[in-house]
Amino acid sequence: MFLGNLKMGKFIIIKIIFSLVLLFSLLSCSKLTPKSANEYTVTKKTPLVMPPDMNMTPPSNEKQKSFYNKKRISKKINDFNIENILTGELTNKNKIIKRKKNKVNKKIEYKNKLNRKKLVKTILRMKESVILK
Amino acid sequence: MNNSYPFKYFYELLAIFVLLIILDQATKILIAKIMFNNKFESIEILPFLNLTFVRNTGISFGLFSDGGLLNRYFFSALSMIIGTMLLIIALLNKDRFIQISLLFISGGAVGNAIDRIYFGGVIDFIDFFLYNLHWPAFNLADIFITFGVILLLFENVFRKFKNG
Repeated sequence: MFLGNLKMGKFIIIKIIFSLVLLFSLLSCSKLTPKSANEYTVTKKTPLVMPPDMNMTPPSNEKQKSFYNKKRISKKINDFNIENILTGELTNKNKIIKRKKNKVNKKIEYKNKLNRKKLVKTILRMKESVILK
Repeated sequence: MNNSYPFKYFYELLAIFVLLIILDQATKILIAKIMFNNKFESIEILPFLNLTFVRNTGISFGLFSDGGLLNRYFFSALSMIIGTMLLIIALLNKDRFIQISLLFISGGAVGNAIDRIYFGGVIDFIDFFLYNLHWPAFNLADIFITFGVILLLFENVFRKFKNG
């Protein structure tokens, strides 16, 4: 009786193991990573390139600044689109550029005024000296 | 006399088998279309259930998914052979309970095998999660297989003990 039960138990265990193996071999559930990389959006970094001349010194700060300013201006020019014109963003940008231009013009005018005064003074001095002579 | 006939419910069982495969494939195609329109981003259905699009080239829990082309052919052949074998056993078996459980397992296995052959991997789209803990994504074929195995285990453990 006991042996019979033992054999029966063994048979059931074998069957259970077989069915579990069947389950794991046929299932195809896949683990989800929180943010798995999309193979289509991955971009390779460009390889490092040696500079043309190793003895070359880096550009001075002023040169760098002027270079970046030029870049900014060119970017601003390129930023203008038909969409900007239609949405009215261009007018705002124009206003900002006008304000900046006005500031620069005022500075130039002030400098010119100072120069004129200096010139007038020098001319007057010249005249005085001539008269005195 | 009728009970001894091995293919008594042949057409019924075959119809269930085909229906299971059609159901599985139809859901996969439908989900693929929905996901294509949604740029393959997961859709939240319930606070604990998402619809995602994952292609599994391996077996359960994404195991052996880096095997390449050999892996694809091996697993598709394996699941196809096991599926057909189980279908034949189900057709030959007299017990209705075992028949249905084996049919479910074979239907799921063949459904996944078809995916492996046509798409190169099984499409999983059901994603159950609790906060950040995600259960591996699965599909309808996996549900069929699990249901069939549970029925088989139930039959092995409980019914055998009841009969003595």
